[in-house]
Amino acid sequence: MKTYQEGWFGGRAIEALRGVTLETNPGEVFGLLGPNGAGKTTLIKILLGVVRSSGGTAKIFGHRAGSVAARRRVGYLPESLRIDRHHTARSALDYYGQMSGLGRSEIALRVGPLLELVGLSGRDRESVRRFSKGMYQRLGLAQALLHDPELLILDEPTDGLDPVGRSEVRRLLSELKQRGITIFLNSHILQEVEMICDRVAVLAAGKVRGIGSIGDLTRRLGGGQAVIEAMPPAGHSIDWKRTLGESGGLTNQHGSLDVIGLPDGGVRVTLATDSQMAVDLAIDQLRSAQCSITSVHSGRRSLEDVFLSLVGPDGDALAEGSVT
Amino acid sequence: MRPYLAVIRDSFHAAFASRILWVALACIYLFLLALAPLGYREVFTTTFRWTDFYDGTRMKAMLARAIDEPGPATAVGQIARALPEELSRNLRSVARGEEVRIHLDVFSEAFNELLDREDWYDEAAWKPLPRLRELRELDALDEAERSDELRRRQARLRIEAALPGVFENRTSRSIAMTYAGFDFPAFFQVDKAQFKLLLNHIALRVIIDWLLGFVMIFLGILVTASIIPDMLQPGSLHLLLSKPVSRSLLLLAKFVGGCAFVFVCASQLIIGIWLISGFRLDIWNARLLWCIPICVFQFAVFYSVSTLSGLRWRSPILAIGITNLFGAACLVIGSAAGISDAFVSDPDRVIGLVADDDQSVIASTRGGRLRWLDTDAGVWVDLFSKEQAGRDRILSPVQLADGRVATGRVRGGRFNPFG
Repeated sequence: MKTYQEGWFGGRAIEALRGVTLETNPGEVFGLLGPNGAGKTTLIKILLGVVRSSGGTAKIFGHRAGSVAARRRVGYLPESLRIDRHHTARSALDYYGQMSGLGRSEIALRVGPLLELVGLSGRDRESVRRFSKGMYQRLGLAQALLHDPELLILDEPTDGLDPVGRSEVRRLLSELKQRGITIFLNSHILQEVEMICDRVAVLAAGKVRGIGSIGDLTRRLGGGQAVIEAMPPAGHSIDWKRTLGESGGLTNQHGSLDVIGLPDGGVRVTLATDSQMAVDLAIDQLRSAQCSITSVHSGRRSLEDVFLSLVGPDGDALAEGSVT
Repeated sequence: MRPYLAVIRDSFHAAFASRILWVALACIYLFLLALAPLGYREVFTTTFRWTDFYDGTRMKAMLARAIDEPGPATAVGQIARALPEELSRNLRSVARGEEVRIHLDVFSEAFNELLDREDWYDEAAWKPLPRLRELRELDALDEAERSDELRRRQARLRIEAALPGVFENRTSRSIAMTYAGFDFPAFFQVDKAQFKLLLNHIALRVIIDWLLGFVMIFLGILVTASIIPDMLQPGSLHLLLSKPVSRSLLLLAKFVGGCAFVFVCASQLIIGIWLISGFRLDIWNARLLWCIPICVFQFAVFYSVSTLSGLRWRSPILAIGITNLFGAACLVIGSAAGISDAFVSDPDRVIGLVADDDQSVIASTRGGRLRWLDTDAGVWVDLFSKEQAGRDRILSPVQLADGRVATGRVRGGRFNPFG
């Protein structure tokens, strides 16, 4: 739990985290998801000892989170990393290596392979002020890895990067995953999390709304969905909600219904349901309204759908029973 | 210790990279280079200045009386008759009892003209006069042994011998300041020991006070004020705090890094001044080196204010502003305390106390007063007027072996350091 006091005399209390309980397994890539202000960065700050929790305990490898022993085993890449502009990649690694307690000879041995790993070899004596955002992030990753940490905490590692930069960072994270390093990834880029993470936790308003593998979450919280695209007869104006819902017999028991118009005059009906009967019913109703069915797709909901459900107003109710 | 030493080293790295340290060092070396050609040489005290006259009225009277004296020539008469025509005319008017004002610098110019002539000197006229040993030695020298400078010195001593009680006591040697081998136009009429004392107590003190006490501290604050706010940028602070270091020691290391910057600059400046004053002015004052830690300590006091402001508001501009306000507050409080001391407490603060054989108690005060205790009335009574106490310097009284008490009054106060 973390409560911030606002103002000089602690006037208003703001609860940044409430009853967050989660655990990361060794060797896995764990994603922390949540909208802005969900408490993700606060949670990371507690893990690193930057701020102290107002209640509860956090442990890293059995040590109190934030203790010197815990921080020795953690590598951290902050959001909006800032490396002083007087550094080159090599001197920055030398500085942060010493801050991590490494000797200069030890640092000299590790810097070469690390620069190779992050793709900065050959540019190691260049001032960081000439670095692109992607190179900056890669240098940040190198400093986080320099002291050979067992846990890597990455706060928005691809924030502000172009698609090429994101792809580079993803490649690097996959390589680190192969090496067995535990990665705790904080991101709000869902596609990225979907591609890299073994397990995720969704945080909203300071509470964990969902936790588990992506498959688990989509199965438990999302279920299936069908997307039907249809073209109505020319010159007809149809009240779709009425046609499909009230008159058509599709009720809440069949799942939620979403209808949007398409630019070509067609309509896309999204039906959140596992029931084939509901899909058949929707097609029947569309056909009886003289619409041509142009396509039907069915499958499971994406992580984005699950995420939006969890962080939405009904997220708390959805989360009940889903958090372990 | 390794992480904290790395932080201190990084402060230098940052200062070097931003060229601030280079600029500061360049300024220091330019100043030292400008100072290095300064030198001095000892010369004989020859030229008269208006400040050399102790009793101008007596001089005017002596010269006026002697200018048309009858009978055998006297030394004063010889000098009076050799003076420029206008001055001679004025002196004759004085001799007739007229009120004529003659400025002292007219006399000094007239005497300086005599230094390069010998026609006014008459050996017989000077023979009965008491002469200083220096003059007797110069008179005994062969003509060939006397340089122009010695000749001028001899002439000055002859004039001084002819007009006893007229001149201030001046040393036989003066100090001529030189710059890259060229003489300054003015001379210091003090001997070498006094010159060194003056440099140590006044010149070096002023340089150190201003350069270290003001310029160095102000520039140091300007340069280092951004260190703490920069460290507190989220992307920088969180990264540093994620390392296995103590946050209080991290802050201390950053603070020391800022002080180290001033240490480097102050030590270069002080060591430079020390070497120049040693090699060029022959003043090897090792105590000058104490200025380095004192300057760093003084900076640390101001920098702690800058650090606290930086921690609170994370703004270098505010940190500089608040530190300057703190400096101004210190200045105001210090000045108020100085004024209060000078006018309220110092006049009565006893710094020397003696009793003579009659058990009269005499005390000197910090305010420059000399008092004796009137035991009957139970009050302190000033021996000199308040005006004199403010103008002159009163030496603390001492008890002599025979039980009497001696003290001294130096005319000119602190502007006359050698009495």
